[in-house]
Amino acid sequence: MEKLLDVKDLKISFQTYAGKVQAVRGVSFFVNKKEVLGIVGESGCGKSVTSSAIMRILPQPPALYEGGEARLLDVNLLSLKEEEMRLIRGRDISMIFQDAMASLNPTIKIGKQIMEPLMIHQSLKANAAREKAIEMLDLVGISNPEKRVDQYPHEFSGGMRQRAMIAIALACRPKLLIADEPTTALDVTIQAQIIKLMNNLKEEMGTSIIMITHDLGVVAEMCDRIVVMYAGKIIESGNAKAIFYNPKHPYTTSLLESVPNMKMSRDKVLTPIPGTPPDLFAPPVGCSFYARCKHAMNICKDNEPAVTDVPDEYDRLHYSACWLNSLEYKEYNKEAVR
Amino acid sequence: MAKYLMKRILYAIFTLWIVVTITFVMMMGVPGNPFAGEKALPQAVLDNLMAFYKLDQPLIMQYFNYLLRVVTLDFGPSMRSQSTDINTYIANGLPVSMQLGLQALLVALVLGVLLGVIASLNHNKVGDYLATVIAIVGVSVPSFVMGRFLIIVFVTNFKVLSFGAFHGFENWSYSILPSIALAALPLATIARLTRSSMLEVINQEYIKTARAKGLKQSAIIIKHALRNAILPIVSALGTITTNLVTGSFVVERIFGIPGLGEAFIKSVESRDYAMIIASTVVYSFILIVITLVIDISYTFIDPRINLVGGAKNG
Repeated sequence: MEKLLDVKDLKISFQTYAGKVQAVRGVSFFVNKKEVLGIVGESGCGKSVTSSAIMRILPQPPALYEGGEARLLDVNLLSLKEEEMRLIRGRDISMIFQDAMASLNPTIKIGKQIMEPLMIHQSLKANAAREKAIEMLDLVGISNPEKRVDQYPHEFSGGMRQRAMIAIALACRPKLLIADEPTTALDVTIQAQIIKLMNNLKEEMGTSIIMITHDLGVVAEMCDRIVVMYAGKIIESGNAKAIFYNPKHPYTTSLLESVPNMKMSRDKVLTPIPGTPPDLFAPPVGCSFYARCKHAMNICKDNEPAVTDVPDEYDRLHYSACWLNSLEYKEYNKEAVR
Repeated sequence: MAKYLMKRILYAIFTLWIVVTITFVMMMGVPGNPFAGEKALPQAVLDNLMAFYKLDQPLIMQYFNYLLRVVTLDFGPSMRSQSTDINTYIANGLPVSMQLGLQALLVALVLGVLLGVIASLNHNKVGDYLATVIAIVGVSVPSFVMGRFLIIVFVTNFKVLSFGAFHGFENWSYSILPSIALAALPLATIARLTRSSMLEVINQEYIKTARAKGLKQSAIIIKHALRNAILPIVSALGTITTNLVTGSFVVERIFGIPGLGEAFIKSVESRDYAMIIASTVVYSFILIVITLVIDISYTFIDPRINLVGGAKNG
């Protein structure tokens, strides 16, 4: 497997009047070619910031890049000049957002919005770009594309708008598509259609996808590998099976327990995770999940757990940052038992 | 669209009628008459004058006389000076005031939008503060101060410009200073509107989309942000334009311009009933036409706006 994107120790904070918020606190992950990576976590855990940081579309200020790198093949995106980065956006990496209505410009025709990246990155003339836009609309399953190309976003339904967004994002056949909660604002049947469409297009175009979501159902349907984020850090990563069948971090376990599934017995009560994520103005010294964790131990409070290999039958590259998996803890525990 | 226009024209006539009626009632409600001067006129002269201008008739008759004048667009002679025919007066003054107003509008619009955009892009930075200062100066410095200041700087000290009567492009340079003096206030208003509207728009998701596509910053601002931000400014342009093109008493006075501005103020002061009605009609007519033009222009700026009203899809 060849790595397409390799993010190492990415740190992002936001300067606010109340102080500095450490939104992303040293995140490392990678995306292989033709792979779908899911980034999962609750609101405010830094998943969207991470993806916007890779695209370098965070407004600066207030955003501050405090370290790390993000390599697309051989290029460190974070050290590029703005003009060089601009040419990568929409050509090599594209992005789609949660709310397709808000993400499309209400005063510009859909066709024109699809034509824009084509005219910038492939230097197509207006006519050729228009042909391509119609082709893209057809590809994302919008019927009657010749007519639709001249319509405005308010003339499209919710699902069609997200399809149009996908058409814009994929117009230049990017190497990587970042989808930031693309199905959250849609109803369930449309969600399923959009996921199916993205799966098909991925096969057809060979695009890698980073899927950002808090919906574990979406992750299960689409993702090859999963990264679980909590309070600005990655606390567990591995392939989809490893995460779903053999979670190695109490947060992942709790997250899975809080979602219903079809095989669950009827009397089973869903278990919510008590408490709220820590304040990122002053993140905890030890494990950030300490305050909400039912397995919390003394060591967790002041010592941050290192990322540990927890290889299993599903994935040799399964990692978790929890003292429960740590050798030191196991030694310590043995001592205690004795 | 034709049906819509017809409807709007009917509404406009109705509106104009209401305006004329209210003006008439208020005008007659105010004590005094056109002939009250410092020296009281002999009763016989006064009676004669009243009879000549039909002011001795019952109010309802006078009202219909005025309506007739408005309908025929023949406002007759001024009550203050028999030699001044109001129609000729307006025909001479309006083009001058309009030229001045349109020039001021152009200056205010171009610089105001530019200033507003600069301010919004440098939110809470030097550019923003500078634009805010200019806007505050524009709003708070009265036009008579601004006018005099311009005269002192450019005419008296540097001797680069002059001022006085102008007609079209004849003596055009005379119209530069008054245009600037007139533009100051609307420029500041437009700049502030643009700034707040742009600040709202550049935080929208579709601006993020535009950036994610790889568009240049300039293309994002011009193609994606400005068009969405311009709507509140267009709304404000209705009153701004009307105020500008119907002339400004102060600016026309300072720069010695034979425009319409003076007529509006003086006619009220002197109870020149004929002139009051005439200027009211001119003012409301211009306002109504400009409002219509602006309403129609909305549909070109924002495709979601549908004036005619009909089935919306999507």
